[in-house]
Amino acid sequence: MENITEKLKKLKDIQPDAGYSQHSKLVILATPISPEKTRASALTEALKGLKEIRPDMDYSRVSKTAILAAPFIPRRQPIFNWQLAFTVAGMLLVLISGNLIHNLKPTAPNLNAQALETEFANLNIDIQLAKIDYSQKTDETVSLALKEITTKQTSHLNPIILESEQTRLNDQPPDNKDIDNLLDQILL
Amino acid sequence: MKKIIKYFVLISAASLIAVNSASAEQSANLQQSFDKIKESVQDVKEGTKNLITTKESENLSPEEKEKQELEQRVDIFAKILNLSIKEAEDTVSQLKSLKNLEEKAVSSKKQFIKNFEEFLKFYNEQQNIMEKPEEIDLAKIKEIAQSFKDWRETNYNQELAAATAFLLINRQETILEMASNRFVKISSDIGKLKKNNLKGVEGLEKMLNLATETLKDAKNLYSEAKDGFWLIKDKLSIASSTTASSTLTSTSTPVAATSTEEIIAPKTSVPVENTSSTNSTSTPSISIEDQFLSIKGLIGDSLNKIKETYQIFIEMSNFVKKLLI
Repeated sequence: MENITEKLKKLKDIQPDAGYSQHSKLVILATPISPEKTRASALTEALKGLKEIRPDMDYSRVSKTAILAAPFIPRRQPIFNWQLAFTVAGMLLVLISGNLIHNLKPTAPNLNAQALETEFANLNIDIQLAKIDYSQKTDETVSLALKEITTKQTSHLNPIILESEQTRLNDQPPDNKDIDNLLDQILL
Repeated sequence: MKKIIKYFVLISAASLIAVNSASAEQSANLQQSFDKIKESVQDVKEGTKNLITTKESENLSPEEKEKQELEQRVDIFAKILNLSIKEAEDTVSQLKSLKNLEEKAVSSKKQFIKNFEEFLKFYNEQQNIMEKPEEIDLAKIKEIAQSFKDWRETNYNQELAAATAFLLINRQETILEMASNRFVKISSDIGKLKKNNLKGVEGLEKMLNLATETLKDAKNLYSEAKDGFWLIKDKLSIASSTTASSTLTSTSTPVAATSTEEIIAPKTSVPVENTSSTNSTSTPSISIEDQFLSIKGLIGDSLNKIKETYQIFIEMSNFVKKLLI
């Protein structure tokens, strides 16, 4: 493609001979312009007339010879690609400097406290341990409840009752202060 | 290139978020089901307390007392059924969530799911009976409760202990894998810090050695639990295939995987009963339920060791932060 372009450029230097030039001009100028036709259609007519013009034999021969005689110049491959070189150099610089910075400032990315805590939480160890402890309690509660349903008398050592009474005692406000106050009043 | 990096970062972030949110969802589900069970246990306890209070009451006439006691007995039994359903549903759901199992574990998982689905059917049948309270008198509710108590003791408790041990063993495998991966990564970090001659790295190495020990203990306890579990299961399979007679009390209730309480002792510390012993002074027989419970205990110990390991990792994290300032 490039070769053909080169050859066509050379054609620029070839000038038609004076006779051919004169003849072409006369044909264009002699084209009649009818008043009813527009300027555009007149121009089209004039250009149609140019179709009929043929170069003379000599001009044709000289042109062909010039095209065929043009030497074939192979496309030159660039020996050194500056763009590529700069890109590679840049990347190397980033890698080397990154490695240097990394070596200068040691890190321990796998000892991130927050990540460790999240990972531990996701293992659900605490829930599982709580479930292990609680499963025994579930069985005990059901067994004691079934025992109460099936027996007429209640067991006073039933852990549910003991637990409930203990909670009730813990929830009650201590009366010691009131007793102390009353004693103080008697003594004073 | 920029676009590729951008997409890579986005995909990585999205997958990290997805993994974390999946784990968070799993934690939330576990906690939610546990809370529901605790709530149901509390309901049963409250019902029992009310019944005991009525039994001890001296302000009620014998007729009033009997009527109130009957209502409360029916109410407690309904609450027990509700708790049992929640417990069985939770077990089935946890079993179904187990992934990447060994071949024999896959068949056990299927068997456990099948058994617990049978239990659920049985509970629904019991619930249907309770839907007609007018047909239930004191004698009837006592009979139903006694039958349910016997069924639990003979079939359910043992199967629940086995399924719980199975679930814990398989979950512990994943937990150990994660903890081991974290250990390897931390070891690599410490190796790099040592290479960089970081001052105080010896302290980190000491901590890492402690973590090595706790992780090793966790693995040993897990292996012991796993070996013990399969030994009991294998012996149960042999026993159930060779023993034709069943000791089950009711033929209408779901049948558990075993028909015998005695199996041959394994070579682990898990207390498995030895039937081959002829010595009359040997230790009292250990029920299969207790054998499975001991496996649960071993996994509990292994979990505590993993907890200790992570505590060491977090201490190391705080220590390394000071070193790197």
